Amino acid sequence: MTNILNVAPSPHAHGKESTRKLMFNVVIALIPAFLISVFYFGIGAIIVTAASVLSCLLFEFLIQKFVLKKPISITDGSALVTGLLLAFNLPSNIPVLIVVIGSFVSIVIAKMTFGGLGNNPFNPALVGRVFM
Amino acid sequence: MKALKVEKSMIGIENNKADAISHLTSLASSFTGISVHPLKVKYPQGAEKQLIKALINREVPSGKLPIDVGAVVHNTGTAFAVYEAVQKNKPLIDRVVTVTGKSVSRPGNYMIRIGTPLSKVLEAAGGIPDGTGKIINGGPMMGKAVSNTDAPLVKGMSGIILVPAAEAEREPINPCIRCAKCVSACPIHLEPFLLMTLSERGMFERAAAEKITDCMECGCCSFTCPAGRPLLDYIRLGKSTVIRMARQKVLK
Repeated sequence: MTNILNVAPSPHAHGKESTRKLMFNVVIALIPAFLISVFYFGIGAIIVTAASVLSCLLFEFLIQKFVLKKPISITDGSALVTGLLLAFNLPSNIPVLIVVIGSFVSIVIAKMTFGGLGNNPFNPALVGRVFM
Repeated sequence: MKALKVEKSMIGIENNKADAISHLTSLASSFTGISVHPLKVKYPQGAEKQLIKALINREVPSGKLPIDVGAVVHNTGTAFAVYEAVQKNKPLIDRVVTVTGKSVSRPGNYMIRIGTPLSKVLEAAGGIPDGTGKIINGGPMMGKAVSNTDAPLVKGMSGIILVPAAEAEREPINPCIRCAKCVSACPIHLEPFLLMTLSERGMFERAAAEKITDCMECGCCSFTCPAGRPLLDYIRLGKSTVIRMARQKVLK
């Protein structure tokens, strides 16, 4: 008897779904909309989307690293989805600085102050849009 | 059938056991009133309320028994034990136990005397392989993890599963994102995410109002949760607390 048995309550099996997979499914679902926006609005759509996604990821990283001092969870894809949704709510010729301010409101005020993923009373992307 | 004074009995078997279906159908054809029904493979279906719904499409209301909708459910183990007791005058001294798991060298069904230590049962199935992380008494969804292989086999044991150490650990717990997968997964239409939060916060009166005691602990909510939340653990805590509170109320 060299085996150490692990004792835990049932169920002893778990499905293959994870938060990360769900979030990346959302991203996949948004790709056609992104392609169409590039087709209609050109380079501006790419700039706004990139600025929004990158600033959302950055703000989430900074908050978790320096303010909350919690494990970094930007790889779960939720900030990525927020960034995409915020970008899709904005006109393609909006200045990048405004986009970054919008991301700040979305992530820092609408999401992280309420406790982060799963605890936001409103959709963070839409709070950012309303603020702008 | 005679004991219950009924005329119709049905045997439900899931579709993936084709040889069992064909064998029992040919046996049943010589008896009037017994019919075999292949069922869709799904979980949970073996519990009596779910089986009644699948076979005769009647739902057993909350707090009622199957007899209230005109049905009695027996599993194969019970039916066989009754046959042996009535026809052969043999008491319940042994039962069929399934020993399985990816790493088991001789998995299969074994007829075992009640009271045999688990270690002897596992020896018969080829011994405990190295790197076994968990031994489950029962199924993967509702079975209990065994802490000691010296425990004897009892009449309620139907299967033993050996799980490799790599699959014995739980996933990390992430925050709930309200995807509501647990709500769609729950076979009795409860709201597991709500029951878990209520139990976590100690709001047991509210949990009782949300019918936490109807939970049959199938584990579908914990299985499906993408955030790996231990929904059933908290629901069990809440359920036992609610039942205890109800008992104390009666005593007062």
